[in-house]
Amino acid sequence: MALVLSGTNIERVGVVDDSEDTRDTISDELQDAQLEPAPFDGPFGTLNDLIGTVAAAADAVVCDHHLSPRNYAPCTGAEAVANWYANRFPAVLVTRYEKAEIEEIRKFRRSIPSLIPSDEANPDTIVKGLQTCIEEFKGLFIPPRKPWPNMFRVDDIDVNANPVQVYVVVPGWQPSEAIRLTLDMFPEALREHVKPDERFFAVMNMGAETQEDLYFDNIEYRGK
Amino acid sequence: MRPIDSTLSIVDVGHGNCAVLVDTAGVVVIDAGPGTALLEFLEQEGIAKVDVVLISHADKDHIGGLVALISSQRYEVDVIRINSDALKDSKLWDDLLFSLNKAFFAGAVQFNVSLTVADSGRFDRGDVHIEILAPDLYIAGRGPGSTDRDGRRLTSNSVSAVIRLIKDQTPIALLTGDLDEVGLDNLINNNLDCRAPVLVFPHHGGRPGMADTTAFTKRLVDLVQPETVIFSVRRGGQNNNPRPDIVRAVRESLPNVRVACTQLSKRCAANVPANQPTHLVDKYADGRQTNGCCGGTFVINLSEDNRPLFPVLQDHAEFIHANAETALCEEPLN
Repeated sequence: MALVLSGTNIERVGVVDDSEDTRDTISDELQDAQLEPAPFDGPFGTLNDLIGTVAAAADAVVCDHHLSPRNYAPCTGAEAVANWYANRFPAVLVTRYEKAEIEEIRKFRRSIPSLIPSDEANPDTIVKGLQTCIEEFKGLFIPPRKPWPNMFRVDDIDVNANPVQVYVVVPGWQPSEAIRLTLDMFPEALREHVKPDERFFAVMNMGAETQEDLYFDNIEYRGK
Repeated sequence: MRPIDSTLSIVDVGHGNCAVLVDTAGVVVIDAGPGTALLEFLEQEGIAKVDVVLISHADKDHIGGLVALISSQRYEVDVIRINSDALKDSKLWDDLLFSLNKAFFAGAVQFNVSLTVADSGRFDRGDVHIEILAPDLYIAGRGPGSTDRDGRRLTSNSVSAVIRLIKDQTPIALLTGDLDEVGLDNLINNNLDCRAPVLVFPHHGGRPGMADTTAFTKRLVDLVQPETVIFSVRRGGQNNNPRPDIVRAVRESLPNVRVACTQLSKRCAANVPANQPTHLVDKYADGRQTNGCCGGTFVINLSEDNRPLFPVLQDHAEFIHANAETALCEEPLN
């Protein structure tokens, strides 16, 4: 059982999830996709342990976002997928797609090409997700993921929230839509400038269809 | 050496306007609809430098792509012209002016807040003459928020720039921005020759201010005498253009006219085709990904004497006939 996706041979796909039931479900979906599942029971002591163990035993991975509740791994799935992406190891993130999760994931979103809602994880979406990831390694981006340097403006900031919430507007994307970021997404040296009407510059996927899919990378300060 | 193919592309940017003139000595962009459509178009065409950007007026569906273009830092942009608009208090307008002002002081762009009839010919970059038919100096001088000689309020649309492209003394196309009734009256009162074989209809085929829509349409097409009327529209969304009464008025005035939309209006087809249409030109179109194009991006080849418009009528008509069960452009006229 194997697939060739954009010239890359994919045979064994790791399944990383703290729930045995979900590991079984995803494994079934992978088998239906003509791929060999490699479920990992865990636990993993460190992020590097997780990254290295899976990469050594599989050609790609499907990873859940919530990994820490049962001490399965000391990190989020988003963090893990971003690390695999940095190592050019194909990875798909599965999430319940709740608002709180989206904010947590956004800081890693640049390195998460494929985010699949839990109830939509099936052979088609998983294979498509892996293919999107592999193509990004080759510099081929689907329009909703293509990086464009662009400007954004701080609309409001909620310093009483934990973590501090920053509402921003991307004029070249949807000028009427406020997007919620967390202050820790900004480089520490720039945080003093994060105030209403201050403008920043970042690499963003301006073709994103929804704000949940927007990423902000390499944030720079531009002034008022 | 093969001569450069000059083209005018009416780019499918969804709800908005954008035209890209690739001439023998440079590239001119007229309006920059929202999102990344213009960026994608330029990238796909291998265009790294835009010599001139002319913006008809300050609405977001005409300037959104310019914010993206300037901020992208991937394209060299030489000259940008737009009229000031005191009525526009939007953050987007402020964002654009902020970006342009910064770019000006950085020496990156020649930016000026003036685009009037006095600028005709100033932005020619090759064989095509770029004629600015509106606003005239009186209307531009008064500006949005004031009134015209008849005491009518000037909106942003009233001062919309109207641009006619001419090659070898022969008109190619008329780009009207969001021209409204006051702007149209102004155009007519100035006794300007506005004829053109291709008319990009104002305001995406939406309501032209408070005017009688049918009367406005008939006066406009009578003035321009187009062979083709293009509506730059997005499938779905709150606008749902073009308006049926406008399409009908166009067809009643000019029985042989070709009516063409960039995207497939929901008024014309409840569903998009299951497969990617084959009649579209091989250029970026916003609706292509979702099979939402009707004509997609339209291209006039200016290097050929007869200046053919693509997609050609027959292929486009076959697509409409097969996929748009309630096509406004095929609706029987009483």
